[in-house]
Amino acid sequence: MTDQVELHDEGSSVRPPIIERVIRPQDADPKKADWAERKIALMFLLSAVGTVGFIVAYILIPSLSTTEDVHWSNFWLGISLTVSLGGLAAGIIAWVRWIMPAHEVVQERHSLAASDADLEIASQIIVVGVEETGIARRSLIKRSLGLALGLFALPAVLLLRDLGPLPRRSLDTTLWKANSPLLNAETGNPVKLGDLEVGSFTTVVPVPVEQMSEEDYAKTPVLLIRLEPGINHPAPGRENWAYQDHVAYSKICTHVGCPIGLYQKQSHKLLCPCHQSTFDVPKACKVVFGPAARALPQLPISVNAAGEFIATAAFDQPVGPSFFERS
Amino acid sequence: MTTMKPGGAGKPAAAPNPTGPKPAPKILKKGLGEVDERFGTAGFLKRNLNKVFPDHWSFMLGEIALYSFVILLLSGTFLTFFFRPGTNTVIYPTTGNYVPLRGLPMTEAFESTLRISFDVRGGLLIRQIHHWAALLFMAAIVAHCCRIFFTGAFRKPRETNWLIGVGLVSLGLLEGFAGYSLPDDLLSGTGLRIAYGIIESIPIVGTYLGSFVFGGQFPGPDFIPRLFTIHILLVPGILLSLITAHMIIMWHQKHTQWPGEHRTNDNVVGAPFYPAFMAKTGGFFFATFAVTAGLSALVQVNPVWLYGPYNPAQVGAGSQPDFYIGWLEGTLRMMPNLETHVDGHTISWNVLIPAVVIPGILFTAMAIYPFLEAWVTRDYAIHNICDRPRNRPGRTALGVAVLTELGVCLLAGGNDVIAEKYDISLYATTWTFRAAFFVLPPLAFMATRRICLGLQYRDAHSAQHGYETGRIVMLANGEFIEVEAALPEDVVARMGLEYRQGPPPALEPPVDEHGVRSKSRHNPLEKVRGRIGAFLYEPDVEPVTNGHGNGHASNSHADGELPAAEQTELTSGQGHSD
Repeated sequence: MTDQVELHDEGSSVRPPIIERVIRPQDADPKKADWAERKIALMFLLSAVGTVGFIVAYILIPSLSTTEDVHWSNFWLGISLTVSLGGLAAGIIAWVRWIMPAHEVVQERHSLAASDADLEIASQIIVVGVEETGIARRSLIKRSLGLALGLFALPAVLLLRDLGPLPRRSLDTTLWKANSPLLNAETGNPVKLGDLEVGSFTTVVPVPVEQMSEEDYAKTPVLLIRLEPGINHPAPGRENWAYQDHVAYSKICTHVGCPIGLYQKQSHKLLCPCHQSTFDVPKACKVVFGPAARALPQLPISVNAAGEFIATAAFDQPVGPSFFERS
Repeated sequence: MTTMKPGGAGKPAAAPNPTGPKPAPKILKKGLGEVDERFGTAGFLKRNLNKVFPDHWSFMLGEIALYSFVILLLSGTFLTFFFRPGTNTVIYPTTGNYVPLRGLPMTEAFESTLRISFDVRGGLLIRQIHHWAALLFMAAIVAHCCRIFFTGAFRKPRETNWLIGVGLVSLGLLEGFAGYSLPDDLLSGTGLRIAYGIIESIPIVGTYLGSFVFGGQFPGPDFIPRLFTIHILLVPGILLSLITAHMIIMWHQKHTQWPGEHRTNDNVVGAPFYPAFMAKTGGFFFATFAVTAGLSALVQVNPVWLYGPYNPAQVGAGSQPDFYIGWLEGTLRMMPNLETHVDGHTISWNVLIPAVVIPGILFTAMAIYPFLEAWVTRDYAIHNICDRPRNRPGRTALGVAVLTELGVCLLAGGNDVIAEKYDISLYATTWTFRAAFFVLPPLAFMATRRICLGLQYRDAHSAQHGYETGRIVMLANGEFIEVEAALPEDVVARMGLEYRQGPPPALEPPVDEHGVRSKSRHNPLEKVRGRIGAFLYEPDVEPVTNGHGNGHASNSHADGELPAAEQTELTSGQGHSD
């Protein structure tokens, strides 16, 4: 199939010289070449059929009133587009491989580097140019220009200042304060003593979700969990933060801030589904596994005269991920 | 200048050797002349249409990346006609085509994404093409980057294009993350929450940076519109200009080629740009497009309607980012919970190291690697021949070790999925990946190096002694021998044995003949150079005699059917290097 020849120039500068002549069956036999041509034409025809199919599918599925319609519309548009593009791709590539010459041609690489003489001239041009500006001798120009350009960079930085407010203490606080009600995040109704089964939990907020800004809502959610009687071991100084086996902890993971969605009822552990930080609920939500370094902040709770859960104080620390200013 | 149309050879003529080109048609020459007088086009065409491109499947990886980028620009432009990057709350209409979300509040961004998917004909297809093309873009870039690394194509004179490539990988990663964060669905919102948490972990400036980038606390009303501008204008603009520079430099410096017959460091062997390469690369564009269209027709990607709108109090179990972010998810999951409290301040190593330091080290190491290798190997020569990975065991082993590490991280990013699917304890998977993080890369390094040396040995051996034909011949004296035949010249040439790394250069003697102490032997930097060099150099596996040692081949000259002269000729085939 391959027939090696001596490197030779074909006597013209029109094409790069052939270094290895490749003769395929279709190069030697015009009949085979004609067959190749027909196969290529078939691929292009297939592409045309695909394109027509795309137009037909677009018109025939005009309204996307059900997800079923969307499914079939996507399927037929996609398949016809694939045939249309695939036919073009196969046809063109086959054309190159079957019809166009397969000889290997050769080209010399010319060194990108200039001659030493040119290099010297180029360097001298630069030197002479710098001398012509006089910048080496005229230090006043150099220094004042340096000052002007240096200052010029500042407005660009300054303009970025109003991209956002300074963080100040905004990360330290949430909407929770003393006497905030514990409202079910889904329904907005106050959670009452007895609403929760033993071993279950719910997400609560101090203000109905619709009335909060997204920024407040993002750090406010709290998990109210009803533990089995007597298993809670309150941390020192937090003896009265729980109420009748109900404990409340921030739902925002102290790792990078995902909401903690999984409660393992048997082992009383909260698991963050993002990076698997695991918190031991009866032991003040201390980290028992995973990348989070801090226990979940606890919200002190009690029950008011109406039997509804309320917070007795705000969080005693920032919720969510650690940050530099945090002690 | 040129008055000839490069014709003749391009026809499907049966005659393989045309006697000479015909004169170009007058009309073409006149038209080209008109353009030439204004732009000097003919000289440009003469130089560039005949440019030779070497052919190998691995050179196509970069093309796939390029064409996926073009597909991204086309499909992305279509999406911008319908997408609304707003965070205002709207109610999904009760007449909306996606029934489960009817009447629910959501942001404009999410609602317009639903509209693209369910109301615009072909909208879902284009959305899926956009996402699949993005995945293909990143996969092709990574594969292309591996090709460049393992073949040493980053070496002089191509270091600049390598640096641009590192820029393209990191920007591509950012662009992809920005893109799939835009629909404001539950998955992408969680990703952004994590991003904000990571920014917060940066010492001193973290909270300020987060507040400026997001326009306040998370999620911030400004962030989606900002991300939109970044995603459709800023980053694609930079990507486009870097890709353009990448292509111009590649064109100017000419492509590398594999070792082989007729191929030297000073030529290029392959197909001419016009018409063969041009047509084939055009065909590849359609092929890439066809693959993304086919995937989009058949395989659902990022079904945001199933995730639902973003809600800061909710998260989906088993959430997984796209693969090019997945390795960072893995480092975050594996990292132990280390935090330092100093003087009323917190440094969150548990976030900083996996999400900021490790990617920083990776991309910096990638950027400096060409310069580091040149310094260590003292190799500042121009290289136009690709290394075969086996011929550079140290570099290949290093690359495989890094890929192994990234693989461990990627798998660790899906440890919850693995734990669930295979019913393994979640914590056991984390501990396994923590161990693998430290154990597997060195093992991969050692194994790869051994395999490379073994393959090298086999190449050198078969180049010298030929291969076993499996024919058993009885000699006149009754002895049975297996006939060994010399390998064809082109096979030996493709081994690229003359481009092997070889052992390190001999060190200067501590004290030279004049009794002067060598400076370099006592320079600590030189010691570092030597130590790294110990990994990159290799033992000389076989005394390859570079084509002139016919004596080596003589013990295999049992094949009585080949004239001795021809055998000598064939076994010296590797001597093309000089």
